[in-house]
Amino acid sequence: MHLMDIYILVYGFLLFSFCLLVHIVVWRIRIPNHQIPLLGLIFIFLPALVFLSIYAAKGVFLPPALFDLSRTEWFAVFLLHLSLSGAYILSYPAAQAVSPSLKMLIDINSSENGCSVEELVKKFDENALFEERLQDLIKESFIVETADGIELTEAGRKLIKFFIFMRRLLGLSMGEG
Amino acid sequence: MNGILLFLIFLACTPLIIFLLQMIFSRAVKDIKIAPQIAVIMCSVAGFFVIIGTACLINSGLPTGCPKGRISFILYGCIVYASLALMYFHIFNMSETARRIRILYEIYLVGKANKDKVRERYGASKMIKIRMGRLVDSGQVACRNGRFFIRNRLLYLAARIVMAWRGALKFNR
Repeated sequence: MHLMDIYILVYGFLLFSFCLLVHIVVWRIRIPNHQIPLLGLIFIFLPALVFLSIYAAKGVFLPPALFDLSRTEWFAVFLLHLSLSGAYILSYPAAQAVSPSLKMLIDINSSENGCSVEELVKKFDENALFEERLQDLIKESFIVETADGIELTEAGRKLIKFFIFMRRLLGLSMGEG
Repeated sequence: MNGILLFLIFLACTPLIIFLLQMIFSRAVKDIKIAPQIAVIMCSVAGFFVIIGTACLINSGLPTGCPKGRISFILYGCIVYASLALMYFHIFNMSETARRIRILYEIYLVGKANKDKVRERYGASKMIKIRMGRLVDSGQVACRNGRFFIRNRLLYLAARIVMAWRGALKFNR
């Protein structure tokens, strides 16, 4: 088996770093309303565009020897990029909506005498913990607010059924949240 | 199909491999109390050896060739495996801890709900208590005389990194 050229690692990281840079620049200008779909666009669609541009420019504007990889090697580059991107996108919600667990750890660490549960509850805004997440779900079209209450949309129903099915296969009941 | 491509396809199936291992593990240790996140980490470690074993099987032994090529191969495999394992961890953790998923589940159970009713079943106080229990069970936090202290700084460091990242993305404006 022919082993891996270091360039596969370099190109994979360069591609991911480029997308990350675009993401940071866009977010610093204005945080978009639909953040996760836009992240998908930046980390998946943009690299495909970059790849096609390189492919078109090779031999015309770029020397043919540059980025001269086999199909398997390009697959390896994209697998590296997509795995890094997937890990980042799925880690993103913890930064997007401040994870209460992470905030609790910071609050506990900042207190010399530790914290009781009651003190921690006081530090949290009920609105941020519950209401904002509810609004996120409405914005992302997983739930809809009607005159007589809130209910799941088709997308919301599919999403929760996926997790229920996954937990059932694992022999676990749904998490406590 | 060449060996490297076969290995890459197998490597891409990392989340599925960890899921299958977790399916077996969670049934095998049903009566032992292990934090679900710890179980996923243990299955991820086990999955890593499955991948190494597969790489050796495809290659009929450990990779040979020039040292640089071997180092790149091992480094590549480790980075991709770790990233895909982290992806699976996050997907599983969503079902375990995400507020939005829990809210969706509460609404799913009752069909159509009044906002206050959902808040009653899953409000701020309950959220904090659940999370505190989880942090204690996973060894991140210790409880002494009803007060909580940091026990393991790993997740605390992750918290600091996330807060710094929020600052970089200007969430705090």
